[in-house]
Amino acid sequence: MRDARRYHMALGLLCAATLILFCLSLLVGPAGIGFFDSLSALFSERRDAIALIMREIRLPRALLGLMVGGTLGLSGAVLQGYLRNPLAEPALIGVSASASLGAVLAIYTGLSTVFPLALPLAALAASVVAVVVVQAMAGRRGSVLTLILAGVAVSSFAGAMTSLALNLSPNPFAALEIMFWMLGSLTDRSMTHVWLALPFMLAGWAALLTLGRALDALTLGGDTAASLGIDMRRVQFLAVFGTAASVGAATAVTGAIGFVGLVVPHLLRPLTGGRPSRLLPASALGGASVVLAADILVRVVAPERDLKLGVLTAIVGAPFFLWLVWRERRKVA
Amino acid sequence: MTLLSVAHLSAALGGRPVLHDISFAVGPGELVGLIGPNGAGKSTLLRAVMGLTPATGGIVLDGEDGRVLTAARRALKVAFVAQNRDVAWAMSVEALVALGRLPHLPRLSPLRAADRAAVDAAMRMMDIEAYRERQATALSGGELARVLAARALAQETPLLLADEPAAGLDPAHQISLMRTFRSLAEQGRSVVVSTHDLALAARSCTRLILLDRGRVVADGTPEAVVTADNLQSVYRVRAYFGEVEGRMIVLPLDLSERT
Repeated sequence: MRDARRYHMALGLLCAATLILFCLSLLVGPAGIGFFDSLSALFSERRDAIALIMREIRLPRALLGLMVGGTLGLSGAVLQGYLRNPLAEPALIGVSASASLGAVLAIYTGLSTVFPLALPLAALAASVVAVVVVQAMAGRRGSVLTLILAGVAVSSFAGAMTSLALNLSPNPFAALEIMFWMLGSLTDRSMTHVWLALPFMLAGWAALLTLGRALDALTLGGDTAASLGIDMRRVQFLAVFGTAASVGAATAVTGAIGFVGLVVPHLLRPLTGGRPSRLLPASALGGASVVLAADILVRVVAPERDLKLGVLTAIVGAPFFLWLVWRERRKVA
Repeated sequence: MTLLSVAHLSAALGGRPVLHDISFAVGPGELVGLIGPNGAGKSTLLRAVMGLTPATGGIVLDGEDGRVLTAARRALKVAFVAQNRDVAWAMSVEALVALGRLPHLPRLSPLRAADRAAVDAAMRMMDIEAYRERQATALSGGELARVLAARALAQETPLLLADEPAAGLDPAHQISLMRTFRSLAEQGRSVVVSTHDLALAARSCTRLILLDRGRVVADGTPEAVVTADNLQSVYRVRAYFGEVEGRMIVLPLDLSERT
């Protein structure tokens, strides 16, 4: 029971942190707009510069931070629970790399300059192809090992094709654009991006959030979970398609943002009493908080340099993860 | 009336036949010990009954065809203690035992009073109430085995299958585990346990099924199954047989000389 109280408190704190960071994200930017000015501009019918900046630049950026962070945290928690492995992350099933490839192809062919939405659409299409291949490889009996191996193969292939596109890129600008896009960022996204990603993300979240009980049962392994009435094929289907839809959409609009889906579930697990079902909402909120905070940080640390979000999450995330591993090691010894 | 009936069951693992034409039926009140040497097919038989490994032949669970039963419905009829005792996350003992209530819980419902009562009763039966708050990953092997058995007891199914539930338990807890299974049987349920402990099986089970290389070699009372001949031909051991307090004692002594 102590467990439950601690968990509810953690969930409340995470909610508050997400809300505060979301508001902060709306307030931070090169145009120094006052607190009340910015919020009133958001909710009024005004058509001046402030209202434009708020509605067209900062609101989509904050919304995408919330959505992408939530997606990464939630899908990371689901995959770690499904694979019973704390090192699993959303990129494992090949969706992120494939979505990147789709986007890169759109840049490479010049399609994205003609028609801006071609980039996220190509990324989404590529992630659909990836998930169909991975799911077909894993088969109906649903072996976890085959799923991981298929994911690794699809990721490697997509990575190689991305390198090929860079290798053959028509001019250094295209190569630079590809590189920059792959670093992952929330800068200069519009409400169109939000509306494009939202339906896929909602569908993905809905699939992932139904898995709580199944993941709890999976704590004891696949056999015991099946004996508890869990349909393992359904679980695999929902985990793979939920991750593919939400992470595919996230990568399509922001590029690859690493480490959030790996570190956040790992970090929050002790607060949930080790129960995967409790980790799902906690990790979604945690992921949203981390991405929002990182996106605020890139604006504060280097306002002039357009520091990429994906770079920051990796720079901060990797040493942090090392520290976590170090702490675990001491606990085991 | 039977709670479990298996008819002409055959199964293969990786192309190698493991079970050949196995038939038996278990009724309420029976505590059946499944014995046999390593590789005899005990685990595969239990897994096949649970629908965890493909098999041909008939399986009827509590009056319903096991091959068309949905996972959710099967979970209300039969509970399973798997041989694999790996626990992925540091979950509390109480939360782990409560997983046994999942098949009974309506969608999105938290544990109800009846569920909590079942969890408490299961923990009492397995003598793990003192560990309630402890993390399952920090328990000893024998303690964890009792937690996992309690998880299956909390499921409150008419039929219970357990794959080597007594392995790793100290003598007192081995005896009390079998006594718990016996009392479940006496309440009209059926329990099937696989074990390598012939002495424990012989003195606690109402019936034994001896498997050898995927076939049923003997099926009957402990006295009829655990015989010098069967131990010699199946296990290749010589054993001491005795009787204490009216119950059969068997103690494997040495490898048998005849080959």
